[in-house]
Amino acid sequence: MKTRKRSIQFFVFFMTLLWSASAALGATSAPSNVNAAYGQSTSVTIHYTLSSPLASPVTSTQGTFIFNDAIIGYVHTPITTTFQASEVLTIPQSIVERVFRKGGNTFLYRRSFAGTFLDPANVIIRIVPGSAAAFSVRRIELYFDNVRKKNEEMVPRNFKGLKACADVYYNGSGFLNGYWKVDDRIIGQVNRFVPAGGKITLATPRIPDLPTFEPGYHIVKFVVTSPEMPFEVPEIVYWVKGTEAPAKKTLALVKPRDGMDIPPDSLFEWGKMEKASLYLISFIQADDKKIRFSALTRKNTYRIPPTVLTEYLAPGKKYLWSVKGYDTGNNVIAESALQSIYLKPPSSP
Amino acid sequence: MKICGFVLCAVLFLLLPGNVTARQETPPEAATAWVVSSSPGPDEEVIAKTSPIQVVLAGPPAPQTLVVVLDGMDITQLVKTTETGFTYQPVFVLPPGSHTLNISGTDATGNLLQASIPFKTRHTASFEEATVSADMTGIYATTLRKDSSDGTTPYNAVTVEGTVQGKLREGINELSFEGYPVYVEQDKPLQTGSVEKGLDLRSFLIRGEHRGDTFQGKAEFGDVNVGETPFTVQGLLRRGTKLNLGYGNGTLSFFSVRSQAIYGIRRTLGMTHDQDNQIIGGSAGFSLPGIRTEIKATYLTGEDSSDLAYGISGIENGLRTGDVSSLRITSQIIPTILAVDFEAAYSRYDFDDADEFDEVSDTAWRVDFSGTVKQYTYDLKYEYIGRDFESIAVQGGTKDREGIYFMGNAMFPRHSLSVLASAFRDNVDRLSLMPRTINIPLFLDYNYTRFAEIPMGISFQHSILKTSDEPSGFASMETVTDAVTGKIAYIRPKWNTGLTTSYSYIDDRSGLDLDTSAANYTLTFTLAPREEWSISIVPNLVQQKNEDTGVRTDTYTTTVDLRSQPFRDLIYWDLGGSYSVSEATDDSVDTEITGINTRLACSLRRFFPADLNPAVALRGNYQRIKDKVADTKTDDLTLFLVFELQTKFGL
Repeated sequence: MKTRKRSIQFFVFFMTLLWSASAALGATSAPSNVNAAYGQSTSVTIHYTLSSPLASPVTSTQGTFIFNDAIIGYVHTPITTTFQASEVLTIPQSIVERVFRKGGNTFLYRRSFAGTFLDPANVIIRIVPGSAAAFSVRRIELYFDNVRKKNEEMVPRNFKGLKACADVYYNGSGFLNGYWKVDDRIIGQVNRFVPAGGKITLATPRIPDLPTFEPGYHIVKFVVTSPEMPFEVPEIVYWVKGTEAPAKKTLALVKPRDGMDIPPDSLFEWGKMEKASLYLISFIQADDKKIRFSALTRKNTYRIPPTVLTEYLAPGKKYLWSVKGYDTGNNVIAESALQSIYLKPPSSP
Repeated sequence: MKICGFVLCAVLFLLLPGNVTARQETPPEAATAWVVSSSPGPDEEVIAKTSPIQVVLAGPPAPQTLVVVLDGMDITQLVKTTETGFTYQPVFVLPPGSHTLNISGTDATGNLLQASIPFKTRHTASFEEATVSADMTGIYATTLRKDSSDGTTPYNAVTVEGTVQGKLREGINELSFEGYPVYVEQDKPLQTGSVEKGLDLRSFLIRGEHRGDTFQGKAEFGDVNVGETPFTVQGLLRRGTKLNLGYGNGTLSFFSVRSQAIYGIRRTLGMTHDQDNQIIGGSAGFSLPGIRTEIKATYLTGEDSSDLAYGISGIENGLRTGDVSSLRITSQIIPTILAVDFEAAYSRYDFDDADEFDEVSDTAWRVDFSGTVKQYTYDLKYEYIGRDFESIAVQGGTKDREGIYFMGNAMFPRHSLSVLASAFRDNVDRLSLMPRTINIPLFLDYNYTRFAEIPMGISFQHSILKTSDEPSGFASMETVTDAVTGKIAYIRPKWNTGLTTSYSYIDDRSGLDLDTSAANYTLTFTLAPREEWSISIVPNLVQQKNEDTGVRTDTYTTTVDLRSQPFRDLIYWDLGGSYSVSEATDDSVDTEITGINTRLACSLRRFFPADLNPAVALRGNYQRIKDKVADTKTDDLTLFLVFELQTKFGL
């Protein structure tokens, strides 16, 4: 009887020990609750922590999506840890749709780690509209947008103004952290709050713009560091040619000064450019912005001939004028801003 | 499909009535007696792109009085006077068509002398305009040193890249093409991506166009840009075919493109119909000029087989299929002051045609009022997008939303002000299974432009997001975000600098209270003391703080960009560099990344024919990554000796 009593005591002690051990070796997840977007895929980072560090690692071979006690999907990414681990979990649209169409709004994601004594880690997933979902990137679309939207671009060397854009589609709202990378070199950081809206367009920095000094092809990526990405970031390619982009400088208009009333025989003068072999001066009607008259000259001055004045220009009207400088290859190497003048009617003799 | 495309181009180009009849002979206008002869003669048609002009005058004008104007451009300073008149060699290509040469001067007694010579040019006997241009750049790189053993840095690599463009035009018919052939070869595998070894045509576009007064047609084949309406398709860059027709006030369009982007033609030309990856659609529209209104109906249908299973098994992975139709009416009710844009659309979409669920259908509509009154512009829009509305050509777009948006802008001589305000909500069907979210973002931007050299501005952003009607078990959410940004610059001819700072705070008013703040400081400095020297330095600091835990993460980045010619047109030295440090106060992050690309080149142009542009260059890439948390460090220096050759050709 005494032996039996001792046996029962030992059994109770053993079971208590076993229960304590199993309770101690449970796994927890953080966050334990996740909002998934209806009609979209949502990605979240799940951190797992075992209740105490282990001497040898344990493995979870797969995760499962569970709805109404039935498994509706498997994630075959193994996780091995002795204490803490994490995974970027994508909750696909099809899983969300399946739950929703069966009248549910909540389901589970479960990770079971190997070992008899480990409790699974559960993440409760709630289906919400996209703007209330966990902040996550759904899709990134890259393109060049210097002249017109293009998937790929070929530009001359030292081309100015090449710009890559990223349309980022996302759920929820939060801080988007990432960087633009060209050939493994960071060329600009992006750290900004993005409001609930589902889409934002980002562009590469204006200063400095995309590097175009090395002929050959270059790969542009927009790498998102937060929130964590469930997919490999896309890339676009631009090709730099050996031809040199003509460096367009600003031509300074010297006289007449902007907005002045001038007699028709006034001298027009602008700054001289060292490499310019030819200048084109244009007179534009202020109201319809059409070029009324122009002249080619090798000097940095020009005077409107009286015979031309009456035929192409009307004294008493307002005009805009500008000058372009060309090199010997007829490339535009300099351009002025537009300035206005008012041509006074010729004075009566 | 490809053959059809070419046939269609040829049909458009050859069969449609051209402007051949435009070469009608008009009786030559009697030239003024002052002009004895000229080449080209009055109303003569010459075949040339830069036809030399020669004029023989009956008598020379008085000194300094000759004025020669070609098509409204004074060319007097460029003509060469001869004993009997003058000659002119056009500097630029004369566009094909009609030209007028006006000559004026005074005789010795001060009498006005004038003459006008009309003439025509065409590029070839067969085509009014015929141009073709090509350029090619060849690069051979051999590695002098490499530290990395990533398996992709080659010892020897060859890259050839080029552009081919051409145009043929006769009257109102035009055929043009452009293509980008490349050749890539190296003794190591290429990095993963769209560039592949071998010869390829990265992208191409063939376009046939007819521009008649009553009938217009345009056919495009290759890498086309498809855009119809916001609810159907906009800015879709894909390989395929596009056809636009216009007759009187009516328009018709048709397009057939691949669902997924295609680069090059090595794997597929992409011009055939792929039943699992094709988007087909079209539109029909007509305008009513009397009431300044345009009406357009659009329909498209398609399939997409791209994998969205994310490696998850147990779910089907069939095709995404769908179609969408839309009716759009735009009208200038009061020109420039009030324009209305209305669109209603209906979509059917199945995110997986292999699962047990059928497709879903839904509607979307919007009405947009916009206009300009003096210096003020405005845009007021109401939009409703159903819960299951989705266009197969705009996957992942906005849905399940209803709201009102306002944008106003005022431009004054010394100020400008922009206001953006909107309020929208989702769960438009008010389903009890989900909460409803209300979002109210406001944005204000002010710029002071009194001093052109010192532009400055400030902007504010305030955004409210909160949920309502939460089902049981769902926690309510409310966040308020405020952001302020200030910017100022100082612009001088040879240098400029600018400072942009911003601060934002997310106030999480739900139970978790996960507040976050961020500050961003960016300084830009650009110096260009000489034409052949420029340097820009951009330091940037971002500080993000989790207000709940107090942990702050600082990211400091500086980028440098140098372009220089130490010896003009002979030695080029360019450098792009970046240095980035990320640190967290809880020591969870501590990384340094340095990247430098540089090129020191010597142009050999002077030793070769004018059409060749060779150069020899030393190219270096350096990358250093140090992770103090993981206790890892990598240093990679790669040096290449590069030979470059560039040539171009044009007709």
